[in-house]
Amino acid sequence: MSQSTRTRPDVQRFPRWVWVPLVLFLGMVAFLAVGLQRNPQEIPSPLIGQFAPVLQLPTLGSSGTVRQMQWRGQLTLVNAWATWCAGCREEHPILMALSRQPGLQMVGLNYKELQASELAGQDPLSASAVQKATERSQAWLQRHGQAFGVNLLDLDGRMGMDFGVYGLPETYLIDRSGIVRFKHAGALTPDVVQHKLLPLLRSLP
Amino acid sequence: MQVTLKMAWVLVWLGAPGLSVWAQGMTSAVALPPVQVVMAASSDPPMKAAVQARWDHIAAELRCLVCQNESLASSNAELAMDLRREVRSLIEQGQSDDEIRNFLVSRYGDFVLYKPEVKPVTWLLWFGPFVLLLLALAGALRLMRRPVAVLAPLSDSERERARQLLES
Repeated sequence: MSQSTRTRPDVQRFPRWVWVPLVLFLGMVAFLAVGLQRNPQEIPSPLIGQFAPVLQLPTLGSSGTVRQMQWRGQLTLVNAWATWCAGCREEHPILMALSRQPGLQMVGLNYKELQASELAGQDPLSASAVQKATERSQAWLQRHGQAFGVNLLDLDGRMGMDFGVYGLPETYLIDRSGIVRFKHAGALTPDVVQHKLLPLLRSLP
Repeated sequence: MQVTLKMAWVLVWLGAPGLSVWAQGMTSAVALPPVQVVMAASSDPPMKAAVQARWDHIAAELRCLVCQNESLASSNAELAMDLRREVRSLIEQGQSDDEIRNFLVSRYGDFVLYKPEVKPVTWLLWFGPFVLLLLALAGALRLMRRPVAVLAPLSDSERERARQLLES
């Protein structure tokens, strides 16, 4: 049977388009292979290349004073964190190491230290809420290390909103002219620091 | 017959995935919200009718960043609640829909919109499926224009063999 079909030239030759589905399929595989490798939690920040919002919040430890942060002139690392955030504890040793980098100002943005369940309808900016959050964050920093030169208390999350914070921890690098150069969502890893943050620190004037 | 089959093949391969993605995007922007908006309204203090109308209009096309397949209106994530409150106060301050959208896009990017603006960065998203469809049609047309191969008639020995096979 196979012998007789082989002798017929029109059956033997496959039409040229026969590879089209295969190529398309491989294309789809490639698409999926790339797409599935990507982390959907990583949303590109529109802040990159823009001026950072001016931080204006009570600083932790200086009893309710509002300080206007001036970005100009220093490289600044802003880290959004809270004591309830597991990733923050995980990345803290890395922040400690970064805090020893010369010429890098470390700013902690304590984001929504008291969550809705704890507040139970109470105003997040009330004096008692501020006190509770302050005590808790300071205790945490004492235990895990004072990585931040300045630590700001963003109890209602309004400042975080200006930075586009959508989860903790998040880290932003702001250059000397006040422009956001880098954002990392999620805990910093040695890999991210080594291959992204440090090269960027070196390349910025 | 053969040609129509081929064409159907190519169309299925090329056109359908793109179209379905596009259709999904459109329906999630248009069809989902009504039920969910009610949920949002029940978890927050009641709004004035005028504010409510604006809210219904805009909240449905905003996407929650934490739980990415929920709209901002339906999500119970804390950030979604904060953003709802913020959008509400912006509405109450009398800001336009565009201003509110800009407020969110400048902070969280196009990602917050279920129906992103048409601009060079989103061209692929908006027009990609149509380009694929056109390519599919072009391919199908090419195939249709080609003459159908005429099968050579069976030789006597083949006819005999076929008869044997059929009878056995």
